[in-house]
Amino acid sequence: MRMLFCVISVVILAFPGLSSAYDILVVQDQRSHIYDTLLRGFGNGRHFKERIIVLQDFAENDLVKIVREDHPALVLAVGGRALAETRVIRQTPVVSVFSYGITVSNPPPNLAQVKMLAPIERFAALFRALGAKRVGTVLSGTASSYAAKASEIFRKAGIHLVIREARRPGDVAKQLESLKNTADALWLLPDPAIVTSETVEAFALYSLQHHLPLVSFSDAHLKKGAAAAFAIDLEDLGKQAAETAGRIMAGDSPEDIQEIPPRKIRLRFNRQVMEHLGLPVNPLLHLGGSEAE
Amino acid sequence: MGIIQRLIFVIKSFRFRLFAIFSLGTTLITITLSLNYIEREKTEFREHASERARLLAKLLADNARLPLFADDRASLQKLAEETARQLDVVEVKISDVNGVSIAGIQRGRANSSRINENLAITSDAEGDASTLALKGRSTPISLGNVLVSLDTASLDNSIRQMTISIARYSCAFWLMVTIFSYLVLTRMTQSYGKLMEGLAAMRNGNFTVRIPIEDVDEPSQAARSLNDLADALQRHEADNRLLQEKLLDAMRLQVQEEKRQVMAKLIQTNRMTSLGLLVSSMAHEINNPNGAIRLDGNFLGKMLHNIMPMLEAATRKDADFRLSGLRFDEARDEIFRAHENIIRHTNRIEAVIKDLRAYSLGVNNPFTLDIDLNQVVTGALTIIRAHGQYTNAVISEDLSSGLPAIKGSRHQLEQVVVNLLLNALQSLPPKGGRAAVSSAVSRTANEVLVTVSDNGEGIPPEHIARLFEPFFSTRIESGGSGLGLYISNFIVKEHGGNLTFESKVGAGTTVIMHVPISPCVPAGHPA
Repeated sequence: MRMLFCVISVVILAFPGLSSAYDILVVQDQRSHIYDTLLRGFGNGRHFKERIIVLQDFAENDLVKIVREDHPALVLAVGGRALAETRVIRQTPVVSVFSYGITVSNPPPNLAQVKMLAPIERFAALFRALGAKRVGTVLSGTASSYAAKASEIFRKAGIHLVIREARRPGDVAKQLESLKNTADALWLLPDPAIVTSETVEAFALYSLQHHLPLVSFSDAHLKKGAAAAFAIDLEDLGKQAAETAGRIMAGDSPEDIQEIPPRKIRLRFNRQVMEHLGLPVNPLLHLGGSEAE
Repeated sequence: MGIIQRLIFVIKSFRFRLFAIFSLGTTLITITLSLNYIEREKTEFREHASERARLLAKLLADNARLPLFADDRASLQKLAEETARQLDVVEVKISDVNGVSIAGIQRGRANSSRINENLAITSDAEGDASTLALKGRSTPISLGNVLVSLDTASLDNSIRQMTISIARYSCAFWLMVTIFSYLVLTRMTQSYGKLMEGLAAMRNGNFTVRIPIEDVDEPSQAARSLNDLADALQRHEADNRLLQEKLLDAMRLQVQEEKRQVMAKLIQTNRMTSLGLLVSSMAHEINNPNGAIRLDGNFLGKMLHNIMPMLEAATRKDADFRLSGLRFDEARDEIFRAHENIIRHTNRIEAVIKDLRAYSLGVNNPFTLDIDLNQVVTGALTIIRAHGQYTNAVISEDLSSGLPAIKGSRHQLEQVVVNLLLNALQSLPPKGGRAAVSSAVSRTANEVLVTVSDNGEGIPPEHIARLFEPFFSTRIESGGSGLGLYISNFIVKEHGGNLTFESKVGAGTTVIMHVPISPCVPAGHPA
């Protein structure tokens, strides 16, 4: 780590012009086409001077020192790890995007988030279309406020939200078993404390074994066994992040912005899964849903 | 011993037979176990391959459950490819519930030998519908099917390799066990081998060999017994050798004694020869003066006859005429008696000399038919008395008159009687004793008998049978030759007769000479 710090410091000192050459420090989790799409939307029509740090390329980073020396106007955190790494930055505004977390506990005042999760009302409409009266989900204790909010909204929609609490991913399968005969559908929420690829698989298996449709927060899970999910337009999500960054750089406070829901959301469903479960797809089509490719 | 004989000996040996039995048993056991093991391994290999195909299909079905449920064909194809990368997998196929292939891969020849495993994919991996119903679960959804095919070519190769390996290990095991058996057998039969070596040495006569005893097993106990037996045999052999040495020493001493006796006999014989020569010389020296004495005696006799008338005339003239103090008539008788004594003694001297000469020289022994045994006895007595050594003994004679003549040699028969008389006299005690000689005739036996008896020491019974052996004598030290009775018996046998003995120790001996009577020839008449 010391060697890496030394290398970064030497590079920065050797090129002092860099310290004032960009406006936004972009910190992203990894390199992939998804991030490229999102950043393309972020840079579309705007000409921010950016410096990009890919966390995947470094074992550890001293982002605080970099921000203190470079004095960027804003830090764009792309991804969940980037959001976690930038939480130590207190003085510079941070815009988080492409982070699946339901909510950030004790969000700092310099953080503004462009959320990826569809509004709870959309999920409630979806479960109604699937004919589910009882919807089971597993959440950690950190999502209690979101759970309470969702329960209220579901209740208004005539759906009973059955919540099981798990402290860690290993507890999810056991809690799912406790949902037996108590739920008509499953809801997979982006709770960072328990959601892993194994957790997604556990939800899908439970869905398969008990013939319950699984609704996920990501359309990527449609190939994992989810019956339906809401897909986010990543490029538009980048645009939302750029708009938020522009507002902050124009003088808005991040504290006033806090959370911005995704703007373009499309319902997707897996026809094969629906057929296996014996569920009709027409209600989903009426909700504007489309079959996943 | 030739090679074939040695080979047969080795093959028939106890150790080789045991080793052969061990080796054969080990071979049979090894082959049996190896074949059983190979057969079991082959079955296990095949079961393992089937189980492996079943597990691969199960694993694929489990992994493909969700992708098949979600119609994730890319993941299904990836799973099929991952499964196909497994060893010996030549075909993987994932089909939907309608049997339509969704993903799959095929390698190798389609007509190759395979193990196929088909497995249905359902929504619940934990069992069939009835099992799930018992568990309170809903009926599983049929999602599709997976097929995993394994090529058995490598299985056959593995079985072949396994068979070769087992054969090698079996050979190594057999070899090790055989070597171990040989070493153990050699160690266990070590005492047996030493026993056999010891027995072989003893069979060759070497009883000094002792079999080493290093154990307490049966061969060692037998070896201990054999060692004891060898000790006993060796002791007996030493005793026998000692006895033989003693016997040889005794024989050597006996030979030396016999040699000494023979030499004594030779000396005696030589002495007798010298005595004969001496006797001849003495006869010559005695006969000359004796002849002169006899001539002078005869001359004096003639002279006495001539002067006697003159002496009678003188006596008549002188009544007191005396000669050497005697009266004439007394002196005349004495003179004539002295003259007769001179003549008689000179004749006797001549006769003795003549007999001694004839006895010593052994000459003039022709057989004649007119032998008078009384004359023979008288001649023998003459010789004995002339000997003069046995003056303390009293010799009596009782000669029967009118003995018939016999055929024989007077001198030889005299020699027999002399020998018998000498034996009788020599048996008498030194202070004196009594010997007697007599003659008689037995008409019934048609033979003449001469009996010589004494009251001497007698002859032990064990010596009676040996009396006629040459050189047998109990008085070798006192000059006996051991030839007297041998020669006497020979002479009597030559005359057709025999000698008989009657003796009692301490009481005396009686010897009788039996000589047959000559036919129709009276005694004192020449034949």
